[in-house]
Amino acid sequence: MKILTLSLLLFLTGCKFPKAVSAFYAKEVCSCLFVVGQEEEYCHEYGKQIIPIWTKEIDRKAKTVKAYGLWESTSARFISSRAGCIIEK
Amino acid sequence: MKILLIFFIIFQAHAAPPPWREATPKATGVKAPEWEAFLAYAKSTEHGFSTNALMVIYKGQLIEHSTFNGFKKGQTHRQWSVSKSITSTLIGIAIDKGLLTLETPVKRYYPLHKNTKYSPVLKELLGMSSGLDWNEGYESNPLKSSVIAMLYTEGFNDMASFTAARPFRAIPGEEFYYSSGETNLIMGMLKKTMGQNDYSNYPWSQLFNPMGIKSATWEKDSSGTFVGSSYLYMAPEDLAKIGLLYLKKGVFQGKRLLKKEWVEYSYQLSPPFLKFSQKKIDESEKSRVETYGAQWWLNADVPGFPNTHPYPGLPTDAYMALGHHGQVLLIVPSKDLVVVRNGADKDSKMDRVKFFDLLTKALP
Repeated sequence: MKILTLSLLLFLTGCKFPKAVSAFYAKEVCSCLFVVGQEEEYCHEYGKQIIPIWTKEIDRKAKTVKAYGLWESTSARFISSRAGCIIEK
Repeated sequence: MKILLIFFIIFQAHAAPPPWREATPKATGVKAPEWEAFLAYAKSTEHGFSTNALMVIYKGQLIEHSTFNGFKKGQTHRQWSVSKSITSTLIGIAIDKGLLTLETPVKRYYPLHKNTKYSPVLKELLGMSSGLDWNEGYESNPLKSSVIAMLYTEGFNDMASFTAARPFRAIPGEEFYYSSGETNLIMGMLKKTMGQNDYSNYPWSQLFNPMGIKSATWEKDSSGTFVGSSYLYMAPEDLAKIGLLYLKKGVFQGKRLLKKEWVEYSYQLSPPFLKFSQKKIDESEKSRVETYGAQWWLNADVPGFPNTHPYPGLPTDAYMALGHHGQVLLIVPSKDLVVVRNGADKDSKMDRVKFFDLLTKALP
């Protein structure tokens, strides 16, 4: 309940932090999977924060991670072994 | 003939010997009970932290090389803020090549906050003393964290511009406060000195390839600037090579890659520490001060204040690259020692003071 109230407050006040919830998950899970080469379960735990994401889509073939939380969505994409992952939007 | 030559080059690259010899701790004179106590702490899991990789190179000999938690030898690992120290390495090379100087002003490449009269220069960014306002809290203060804003919300498109546009809270060179933004601004300045292709290859052409480092990934922001603060990934074995490069004052396997003067500059105290007063030490409510050089953490005393170095067990010439979740690259010239520790300590519970203390107690 506390998390829900806080989430709503952040959304209503126009604070930019909500974007961080999905962006952190998408970017860091992308790097965890496709740069470090860890298992999906480990990476999901790694991407967890106090405020959880609501949904996620991992496309192993396209090497992308999309996350949705606090009314914000973020995609991250693996580029190459040198350049790793990047937040797309 | 050409094909033969290519095969020869490839063979030579693969045949390059490691920059250390393997030895038992006993063979190097390490004290057995103390060494066991160090290993027991470093490898323990009951203290709320967990080591993924541990390497100890003492007197040129690899006396400890272990991995845990399913992590394999040679596997790429997140280095988080250890990246900052490797950014410093690249800047040392760029300065040697005349691309930048310590006095290069930020405003030559990035517009500063519109109302400012200040003009910070590269050496102030290296010493985390640009004066640009910053809040480095991660999980502890996510709503006010400048670093979260830079990496994930307002700044991820262009982290150097995001940092340069911050208002000032101090006169450049006067105050030390740790800022991941400053390192990304440094990386942005480096980018502006060359074409995008040369820049994208720079860490490899200038450092990783000459050292035989093959595990590195360095992520960029959307503007093409390397995230020098946080996003270097590298196997612990390759990070240990960087440690040896510094231990040998810029020479790696007989090849000079970095000027001796730059290595020495790296562990000179950032200027604000030369202006420390008793009041400031009293205000910190600690008897120890975490000192900083040019993107490297130091174990130096604050001048005029003996025994203020942060790690009592370590010699005062020790310096280190430290990263989020317990990443450590330790270099101790007086002990001929390099240590790499990689972990995933989300709660940051590893006690570095204890870790270093137990380690040095085991050395003769």
